[in-house]
Amino acid sequence: MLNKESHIITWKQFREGNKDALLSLYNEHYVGLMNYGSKVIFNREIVKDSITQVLLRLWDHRSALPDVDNVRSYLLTTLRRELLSEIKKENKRHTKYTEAGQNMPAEEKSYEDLIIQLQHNNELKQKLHSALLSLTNREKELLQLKFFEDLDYEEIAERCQISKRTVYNIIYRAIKTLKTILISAPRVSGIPEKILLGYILFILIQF
Amino acid sequence: MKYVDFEMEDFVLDNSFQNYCLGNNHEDVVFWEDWIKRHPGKAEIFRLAKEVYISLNGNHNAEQFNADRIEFAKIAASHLSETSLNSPAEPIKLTNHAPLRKIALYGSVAAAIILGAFYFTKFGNFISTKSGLKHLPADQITKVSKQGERKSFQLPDGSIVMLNAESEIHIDKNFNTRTRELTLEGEAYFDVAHDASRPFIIHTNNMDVKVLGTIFNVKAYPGDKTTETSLIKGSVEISLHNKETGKILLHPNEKIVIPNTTDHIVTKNTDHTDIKPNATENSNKAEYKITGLTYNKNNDAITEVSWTKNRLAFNNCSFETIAKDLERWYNVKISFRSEEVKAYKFTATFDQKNIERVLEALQLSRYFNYTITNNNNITISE
Repeated sequence: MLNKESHIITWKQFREGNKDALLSLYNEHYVGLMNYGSKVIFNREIVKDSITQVLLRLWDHRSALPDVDNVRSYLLTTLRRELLSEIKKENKRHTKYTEAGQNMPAEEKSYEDLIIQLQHNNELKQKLHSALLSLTNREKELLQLKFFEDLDYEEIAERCQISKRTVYNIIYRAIKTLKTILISAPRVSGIPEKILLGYILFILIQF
Repeated sequence: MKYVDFEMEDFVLDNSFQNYCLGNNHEDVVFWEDWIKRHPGKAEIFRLAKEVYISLNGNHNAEQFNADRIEFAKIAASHLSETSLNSPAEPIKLTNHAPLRKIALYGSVAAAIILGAFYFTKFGNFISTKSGLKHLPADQITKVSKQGERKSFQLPDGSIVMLNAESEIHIDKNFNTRTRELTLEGEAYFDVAHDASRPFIIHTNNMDVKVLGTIFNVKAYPGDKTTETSLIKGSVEISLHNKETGKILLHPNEKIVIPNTTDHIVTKNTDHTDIKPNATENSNKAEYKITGLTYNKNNDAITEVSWTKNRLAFNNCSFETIAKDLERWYNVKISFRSEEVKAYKFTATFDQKNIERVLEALQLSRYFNYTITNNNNITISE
């Protein structure tokens, strides 16, 4: 079943007061909501708490909730509103301090910046940085839609007006490029094998 | 294409593999864990594929996702039971709770993971200002931690508070205007921002603690036999609610212990064995004890605040007292079948283990039996 279809079923159960659907809603939208939230405010704890807050408030008002086609975008909008009011409250509270507004990025971070920052492993951070540089914009866009926003291939195809096969191929190619760079980093010291071989041959010839 | 022919790219693109990495589909997790055992030759590209997928999804892995999901399930479960109580029009069917409870149980088994995640959260950057999930009067902000849960947050004045399990803090709406006052029920560790013009006062059932800027721990669980304040750094002034005593000044590395009198005890989820009305009659007289803090011999850690480092430490405590802490820490209910076992004394430190490991460790020192039922009820007998 497509994500979108199962989202609609879960949403319907949720509105009917099915408690399991509350947890399913969390599971289905966790990655999408967490990542979207991180773009609005780069503090996962606050984002996580806000998601909890939003879902429980929706639960309390479940009988008044609309029947929506796109559950994800409904949740994203609600989360965004919650986070913005959170930032506002926070800034009001901290106006006295110099770090005022530290939670409020001047502009939303790009996908590349975010996944590099979220990566804790320093070696991987470096490699990811150089690997992303060698991708095309289209490739990066599709990686973001697929992995960061957690959409499925059908949704991406629809959104980008291309075939599902094309979506798949572009992402495949992007990952192949990433792989080459991620595993090609020199493990041992400087001298590449070819040159080394050349030297050995050269020495042999001398004899 | 068969999985054995998969390249690293194919794994990353496979939905079932993604579910396995994220741990959000049980069948997929079981399938892939088993698959990789049967195909050890694929281990390297399998590992790389997982690394690539997790890098691209914003560093969400199964461990973190599970910890977050369990936390959510717990909060949701208690929110649901609260709202159900408030709206009798919608009776709660116990059977509907079953899946949530199952996750809560799973939760306590996975406590180690949650604690691990908690440990890496620098508490300074968790500047939450939410008023909790309860519906509260507008003039107070309340922070609540459930059983098995610890929270840290920053107060509007910059002070840092770590709340131990099953504790509540009510912050006055005028906090940080003229004074900084709050009420504590349970246990919390405070690192108070220095501000001589606004005294920081903590009210508990039996004592008030007044400070200017310092680090200390207050333990004031209504169900416990005593209320304690342990001072790590700086100085604090204690006033007991008992009028006969004046103010008591505490020095670093000292702790004050006072018995909880019955008239102050709020009987909230405590087992009756803990409150003995007759025994406390004399304690209405000002009676308190100041002692030094206890240090763990091995690592110099202070026993009183070891919980802030995710360790549970006891120094020559009765099993009965330890059980109270274990209940709060692991979200379980413990009852004793034997008065003798209840009085056993233990000195021990535990970090990030599940409750069964803890009980097994205690069994190595003294002999006793225990049984755990599905609802996290533990019965301890000889």
